[in-house]
Amino acid sequence: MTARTANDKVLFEARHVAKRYGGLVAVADVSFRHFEGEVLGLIGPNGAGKTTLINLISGTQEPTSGTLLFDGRPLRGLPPFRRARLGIGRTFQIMKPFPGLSVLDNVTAGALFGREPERAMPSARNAAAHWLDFVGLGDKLAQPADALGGPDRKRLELAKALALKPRLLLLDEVMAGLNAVEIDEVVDLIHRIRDGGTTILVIEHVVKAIRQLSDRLLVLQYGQLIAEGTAEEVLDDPKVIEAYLGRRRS
Amino acid sequence: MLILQVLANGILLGGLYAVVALGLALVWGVLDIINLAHGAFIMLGGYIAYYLFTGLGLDPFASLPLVMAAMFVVGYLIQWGLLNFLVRAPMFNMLLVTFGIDVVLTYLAQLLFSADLRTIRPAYAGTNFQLLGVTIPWANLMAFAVAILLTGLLALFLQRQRWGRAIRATAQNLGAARLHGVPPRFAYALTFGIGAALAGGAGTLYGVVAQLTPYVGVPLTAKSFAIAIIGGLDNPLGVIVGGMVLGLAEAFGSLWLGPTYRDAVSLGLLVLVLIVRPTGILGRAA
Amino acid sequence: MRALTWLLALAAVAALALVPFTLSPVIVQFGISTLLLAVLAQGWNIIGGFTGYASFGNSVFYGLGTYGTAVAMAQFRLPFWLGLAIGAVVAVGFALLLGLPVLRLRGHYFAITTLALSEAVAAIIANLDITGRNTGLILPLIRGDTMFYELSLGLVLLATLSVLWLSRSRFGFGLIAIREREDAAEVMGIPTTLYKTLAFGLAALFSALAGGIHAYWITFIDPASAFDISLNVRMIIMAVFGGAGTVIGPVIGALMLSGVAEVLASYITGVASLFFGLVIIAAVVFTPRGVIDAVRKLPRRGLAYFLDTVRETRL
Repeated sequence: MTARTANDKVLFEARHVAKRYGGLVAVADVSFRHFEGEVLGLIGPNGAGKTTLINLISGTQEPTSGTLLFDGRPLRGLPPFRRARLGIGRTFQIMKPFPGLSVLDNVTAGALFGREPERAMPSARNAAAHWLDFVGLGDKLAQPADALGGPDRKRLELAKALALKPRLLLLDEVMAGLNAVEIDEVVDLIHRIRDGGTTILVIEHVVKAIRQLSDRLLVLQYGQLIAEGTAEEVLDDPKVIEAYLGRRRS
Repeated sequence: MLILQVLANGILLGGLYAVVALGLALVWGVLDIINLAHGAFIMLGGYIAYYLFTGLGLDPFASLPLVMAAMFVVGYLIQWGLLNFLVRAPMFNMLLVTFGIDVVLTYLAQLLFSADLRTIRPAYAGTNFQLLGVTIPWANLMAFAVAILLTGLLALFLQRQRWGRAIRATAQNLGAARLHGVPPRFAYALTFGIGAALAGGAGTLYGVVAQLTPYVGVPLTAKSFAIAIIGGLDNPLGVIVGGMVLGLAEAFGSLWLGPTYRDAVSLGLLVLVLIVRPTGILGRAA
Repeated sequence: MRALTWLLALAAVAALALVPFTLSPVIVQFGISTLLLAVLAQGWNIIGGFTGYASFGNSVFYGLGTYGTAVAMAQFRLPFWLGLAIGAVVAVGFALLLGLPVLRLRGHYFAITTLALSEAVAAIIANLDITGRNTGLILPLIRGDTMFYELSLGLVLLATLSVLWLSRSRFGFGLIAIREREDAAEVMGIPTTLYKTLAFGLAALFSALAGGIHAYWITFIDPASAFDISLNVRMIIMAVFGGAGTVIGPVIGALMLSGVAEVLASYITGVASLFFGLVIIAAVVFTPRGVIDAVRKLPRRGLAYFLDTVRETRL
């Protein structure tokens, strides 16, 4: 475990969180803490329950049992839009731009309705333009959002979440489908977001990226937390290796 | 004994409602078209039967095949000549156009037939028989029997007959329809025609046991929609269940609230069903 | 908006306002009907065009407004403005109350539920004594189509200005986001349930006021005419043909389509509604994206525009 003193502030905490659908268990008794300013990585084989966990935090779904605490207050019963206003922003794995709107308008929504929102349209648009600049889409403001290519769509997703001025940013596989150069660019972007004071939870499959990004790493399998620690500790853990590759004779 | 009477009324009504909804459920389940003019087709079928009766003295149960044939042609032409051009448009457009057709048919009926209430009254209308202390009108019983018969025939048709299987295949995908040797345009027109024919048949029966006005269309469409949701879109027999639920609800609603609240009861039930369980209660989610 | 646009708008409004003083009474009556339909179209525009919830039963608000005003004036001898207010309160209350469960439905479920709701309310009203059951109510008579014309014009202005405000406000932006992708809108901080319901209430408000004006103008109302189902398809096609989600589209659509139907009907008397149904069908098949889209592309593509449209949507 990274050295964390009792004085480090916990921004988000999950306590014995579970999500069941009838007989199927998506998340089973997950507990962890996410410290303010930390980049926490979340990895695990497909179907491990990672996206479900993000859905539970963002409010898209409610847990069957357990507690989620943001800044000390329980999130249960708060609809997604309230959590966004509190400062929980997320991206979607299957990206969800507003198809009929321009790139700028897509992000303006976040600036208008997020934490510390702009109240007037012109200032909201300005804020949106700033975030689009930040992610590298500054030259594509007027384009229709559904005309963007893959990597640009991811940047748009990111800008939309950033416009909310989130305190906790949930990234769901933003690197999927990117080449090595693009991955480096996104890692750099995430570092800059972290430097701005945002706490980040990153779900990723790309090992190189997760190593570079994470202060700590959580590993989920079949809805359960099977490992927790720094990247070096976790990625050498035989349980983790087995989860990904099956039993391995070293 | 009153309860038994109301129960009997509800069941008889339920059978009628099953055939009322059948055409809509078929077209919706197979073609994914929600025909908001379905009730108007029923109304039209009823008026055709009415004028065949008053003009030519044809007993409605005898003219039933004629009415169905006539409405089949109407439905076939509407699908072939109009609706086939909107199949790949958003569902909203189809709703709007079929609603427009309903409006046109309603006004035509108002012009041609006037707004007076009409019922088909053959000689045996108004005669009853008694069973276990319950009064059952002969006309209603016959309508019920024909309704169940038509429903069963449709089920058989979809299972056994070549065209029927082709229609079911069309519900899966158009390629499968082609495999059965049926061009999609024809399969669509055929299905819609059958739906209209069933509506026509239902209209004939409706004209005997209830009253026809040019305005019965929309409530009947809404009730058909409710029945299709309750009964599911997969199986004609599910429509019988849905019809029974609605028929019984109306019968008991009439008992408790009064007969003039009939429509309000079933429409209220529709709203409730949609709010509580829009994905359907039996059968495939619509 | 540019100064020129404002000037043109002002000129158009002035021209419309002068109609009762310059044109024949028949045209004034046509004007009143058309203007009230334009209000309905704008009302639909708010919930259907902006928010993306295509209601097929906004006629219920029109009917409630009609009956609210009529009951207030015929049964309780209240003045017109109070009757209007009561009609509006009833309709908006209904929208806010039933909006909550009904707006959870999507697409065609929402469409048919609103349609059924409209029929259900009509059926209930036809049973109540206070509303005169099926026979209906008679309101106090007042002569003066001019007053009703200017009132209707004023309501169209009010509705259109509200839609203009929507197109520029944070609230309207939220509605558009809901229309484009509701689940994404939610996680971006937009209170979707609240906004949808407010939009529904706003649509109800304008529809009810139109109904109230119509009631006093016509003097006699009954359930069939107050809750006329065909109003729904007319208001929708006017809004869609003119341009759903635009500010002036529904008004243009209302004026154009009413005009076309009237002209056609003048060749065969008294069947404007029938021709309207045919106009609707033609509009949906050939100009599903609205007249503005057609006008923009016709010069380049000519008749091929219509052929292409049909080819895209045919089986």
